[in-house]
Amino acid sequence: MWRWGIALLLLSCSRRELLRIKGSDTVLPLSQAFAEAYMMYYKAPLISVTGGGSGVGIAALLNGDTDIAMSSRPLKLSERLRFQEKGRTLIEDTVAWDVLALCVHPSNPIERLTRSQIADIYTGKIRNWKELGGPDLPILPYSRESSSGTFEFFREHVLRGKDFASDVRFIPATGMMVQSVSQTPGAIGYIGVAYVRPGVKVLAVAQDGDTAYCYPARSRKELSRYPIARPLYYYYDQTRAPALAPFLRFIHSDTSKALVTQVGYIP
Amino acid sequence: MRDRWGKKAFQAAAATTILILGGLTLFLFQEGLPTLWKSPYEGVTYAVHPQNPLPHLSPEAVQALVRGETTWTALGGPEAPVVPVYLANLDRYVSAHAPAPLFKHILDSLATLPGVLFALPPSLLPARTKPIDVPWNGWKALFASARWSPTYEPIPSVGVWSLLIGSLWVSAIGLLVVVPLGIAMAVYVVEFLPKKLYYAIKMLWEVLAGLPSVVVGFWGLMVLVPWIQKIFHLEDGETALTAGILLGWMTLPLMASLVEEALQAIPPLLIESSYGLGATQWQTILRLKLPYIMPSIFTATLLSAGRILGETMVVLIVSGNAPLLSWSPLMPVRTLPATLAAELGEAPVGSYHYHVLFFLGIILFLITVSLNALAYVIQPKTRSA
Repeated sequence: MWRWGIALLLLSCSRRELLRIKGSDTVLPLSQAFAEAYMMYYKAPLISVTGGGSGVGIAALLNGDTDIAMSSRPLKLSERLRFQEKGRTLIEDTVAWDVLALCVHPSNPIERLTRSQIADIYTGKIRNWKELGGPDLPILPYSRESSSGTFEFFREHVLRGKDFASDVRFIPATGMMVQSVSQTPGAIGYIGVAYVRPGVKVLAVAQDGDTAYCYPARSRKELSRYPIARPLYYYYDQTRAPALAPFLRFIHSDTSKALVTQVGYIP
Repeated sequence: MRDRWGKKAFQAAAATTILILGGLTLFLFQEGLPTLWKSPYEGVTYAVHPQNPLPHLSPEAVQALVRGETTWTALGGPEAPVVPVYLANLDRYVSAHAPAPLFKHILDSLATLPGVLFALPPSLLPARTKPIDVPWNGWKALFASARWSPTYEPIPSVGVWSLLIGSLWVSAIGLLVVVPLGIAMAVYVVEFLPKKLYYAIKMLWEVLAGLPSVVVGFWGLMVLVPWIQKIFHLEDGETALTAGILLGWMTLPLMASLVEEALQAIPPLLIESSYGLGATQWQTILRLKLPYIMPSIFTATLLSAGRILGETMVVLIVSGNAPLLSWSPLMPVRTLPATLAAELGEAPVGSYHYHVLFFLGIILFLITVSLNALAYVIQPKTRSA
């Protein structure tokens, strides 16, 4: 009991030292790993990491409710304008790369797709695997919910701003997406490469035109060849940079690079 | 003295409850009703090339143009490909880091394309363009469309019909499961179950009622979804039927205990008279007991309906969540509460999406209130009959 009391006391004393990180659920596991390692090595400030989504983190940064906003998409122009109005300068820091894997049911003979074929599937132009050289089986596209940064990235970069067809199934969490795809023969879904499990088959994807088909990248070198990868960002206010410097130096160290790989992203 | 204090305590509790409920309702309406007059593109001006002859565009036409479902020519405009330029896709043309003069230059050159369609804040809009009116009608957007795509840029689709119908499907199936099963279970427990097992069964009910819905939902996804898929030879087992069955099953303890309590409360005199007149146990159940507790069954059904309508987690997990106008229970559905749960988290406070979600809340609230009102109106009639 008294131990909890002391912990609480310490917590309240060190409140000024609390470093707050908030935002994207995609970046969340990475930030948690960073925070745990950092607190273990340096025993210095307490770090609180909260999810909620990219937009939530950036809004919190604007209101001063967080020190670092995690984001799985670049700042929107509208958000940038809002920071400009307040006369604040943001610094963008790429902490890792996330690679989206397209996956299907293991019984599906399809091995590869181009970006525009994927867009046609999700916008409802292609509705049967037959049209892609597969079996005569209706395609069941699965997508993440519209609240996730992954959804927005997918819509902007794979669908090129076109809208999802209305029969696309929306799944609230990545784990459930894997579950659904693994038990539905006609399914296709997109997930962060960190979440790929046995039970789903990952497809090779090519950018349009004559580029080669490529499986999801596992290293920085392969990134340029795989079309569906995105950087993950930390955003923070320029004025807070000196205070955050030790932590930011830490996350770009070699130790942290190993952490990034462990979590399933590319450093 | 003690009585007076007791009365005061109750008064205070009642007043607090009324205040909180009133406040919540007020908040719901205050946040939801602006949907009807607020436009999703406030602060944004639509503009086209000066030679574009169209005087105005409907929001649906803008959506179709951006989605590539129609062309300028089909709408009577210029013979040129559509080039939509709005905040969310600006970085397709120019990096957000570009210096201001370059930024302006690129926007100016986009303005020279005959098929351009700008949707930008007036401060960013190039000078040599013609503003075009895009009249917004909140009612029409909500009720004349079945498409739900509330974050689509530049104009979202917020038709509520697919969500309403999704909720109706799931509730109807859930009730079909829970009402007969609940009555049957209650009758069995009261009439046929040995007294020794009674408490064991009651405990089981309570455990069932206390299961977190996320656990039920995940069980459904792992077990029930593949079953449904196999039994009906579907491509996909995430359907309205799956969600309905699970919800019915989850609501079973509620329904069964309400019916059971009503059965226990039948005056023994009536039952004994029935037996005294020579009726068998079955005759007593069917002709006396069930008709006698009809009003309670009705109330229990409505309470279950409320529970099913508002349940979120299970439908979020097993119903597929596709905003379709489903005409069969074997199609995926998206319900009102699942939509709220999935989307409210990242709808920026005060945005159009946020108001629309609260409007969905109002719809849900009105449905529940009218269900209760219905119960209130019908109940005395059945009792006197």
